[in-house]
Amino acid sequence: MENQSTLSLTNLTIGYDPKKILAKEINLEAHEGELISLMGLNGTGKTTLFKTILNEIPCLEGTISTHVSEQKRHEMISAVFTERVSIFGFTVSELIAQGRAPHTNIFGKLSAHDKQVIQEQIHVLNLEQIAQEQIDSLSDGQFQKAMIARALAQETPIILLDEPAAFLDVKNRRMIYKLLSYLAKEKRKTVLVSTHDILFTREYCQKSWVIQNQSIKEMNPSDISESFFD
Amino acid sequence: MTMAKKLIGICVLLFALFGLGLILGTVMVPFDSANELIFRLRIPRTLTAIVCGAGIAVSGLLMQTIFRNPLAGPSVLGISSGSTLGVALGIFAYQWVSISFLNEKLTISLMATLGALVVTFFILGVSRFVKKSNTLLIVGLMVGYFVSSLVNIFSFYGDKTNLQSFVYWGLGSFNKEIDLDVLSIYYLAILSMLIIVFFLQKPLDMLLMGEKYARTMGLDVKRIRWITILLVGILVGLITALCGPIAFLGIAVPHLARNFIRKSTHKWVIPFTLLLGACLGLICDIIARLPGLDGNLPLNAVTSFIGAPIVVWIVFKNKMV
Repeated sequence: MENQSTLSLTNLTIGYDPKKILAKEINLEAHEGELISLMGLNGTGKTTLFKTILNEIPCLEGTISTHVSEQKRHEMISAVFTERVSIFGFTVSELIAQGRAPHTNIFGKLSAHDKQVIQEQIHVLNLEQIAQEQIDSLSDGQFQKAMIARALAQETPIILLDEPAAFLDVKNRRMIYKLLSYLAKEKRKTVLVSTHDILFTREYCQKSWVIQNQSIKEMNPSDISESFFD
Repeated sequence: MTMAKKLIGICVLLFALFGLGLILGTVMVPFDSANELIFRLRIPRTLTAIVCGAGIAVSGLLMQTIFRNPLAGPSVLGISSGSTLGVALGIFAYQWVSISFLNEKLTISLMATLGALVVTFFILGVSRFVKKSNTLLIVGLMVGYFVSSLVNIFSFYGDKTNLQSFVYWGLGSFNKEIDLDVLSIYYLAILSMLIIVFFLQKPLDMLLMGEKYARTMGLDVKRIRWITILLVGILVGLITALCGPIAFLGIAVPHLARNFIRKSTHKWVIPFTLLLGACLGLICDIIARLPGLDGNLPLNAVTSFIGAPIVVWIVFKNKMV
């Protein structure tokens, strides 16, 4: 059985301003169980593409559709960004519980099911030891893990990550990469990661979306090397 | 200490301070239900301190959350300055056009509320075109300066007696000598705003992580910002009308509350900010009219005198420097 398509970009044009188009005629498709890297030099439109997919800025042309079109964007896509968030007195499990926000009532009360989902993510990401620790006391690696757990708790088929390993050391970077690979393979998520890490793309990703000369093309990760961007 | 114990502790403190506020004063009075002094002066005054202390503290919390800025408070969007402008207009307009459709004290209160609302709606209008809250913060600060300059111009042309009463208003006081039935309308209005705040705890929690994340979880950030600023505008307007510009409590109390319970989730921070605000309002009022003092200290001076060291202490304690 072929993997189901989760996200399709059709004839898409992205940019902040119709006069300053970053990329056009984008036709791409993502499927469940795929780990996809989004690559491109600084300023070519990686973040803009993410913002467009997240509906923060409008598509200049074309459409973005998710396989269940009548669902809202936040029910389909969750996101993890590069910068660290600091909140006084916030624990890891409170952070993960935030991911349930789209599912809870007006007071944000967690149901038994919500609590179970949170526990599941704590277990999957091996966060039991630090679940009650304050997020401000975590290392950068642990923090990104907690943020990924939060995104998972949102229970969306697609997860976007904007340079999730930018501040991490080699060991934590590998840890996050393995985790993302696991989420795609075992949890059947569509994981879209913007990155500058060519080794990551070659080693872990099924495919790569490369932004170059105002267009975004799907490429085989093994075809990408450093000289490619020269 | 568990949360429940902390909550009970604060409530006990509030009741103790309430009792103290009734007994203590420039003149000590024995607690006697028939005592006119207590009924006519001290009960309204003490209730005003509780309601306004709670209200201004919660406004500060709302501002700090939506702007994700620990220094935000009801004064930063120019809302307090709007009140001041309203009052300046109210006081000085007396000399020019002598509008006296109501008694002077009530007119001034209404003008303060109106002034705050005008600035609030202006800020809300601007917020429709602004994506980042920090931009709005800068606009608000500038509106504050602009409005203050208008106030200065009015003061410059105002006559001596009016200037005196304007300066006197600016010192702040919980004692406005307004009838209790008029006051209770104000109390009711402030309390209903505070009740609405409890319904905002989920979106406010979502905003703790920043607007970017809040949007990915489906929050209509602009709408929540609109509602929150409107609430703060009404609260600050009503409170400034009642007791003058005491906005400083609004910056200090939310820090005190978060530090006391060591949490940022609004389920807890809202009630604790509310209760601590009420307590601090009472403490400021008690200090302002300590027995032995001849007359009252200006409330505005007392709130800053207490509030400023609290903020500095918390900043150092949490190594936020």
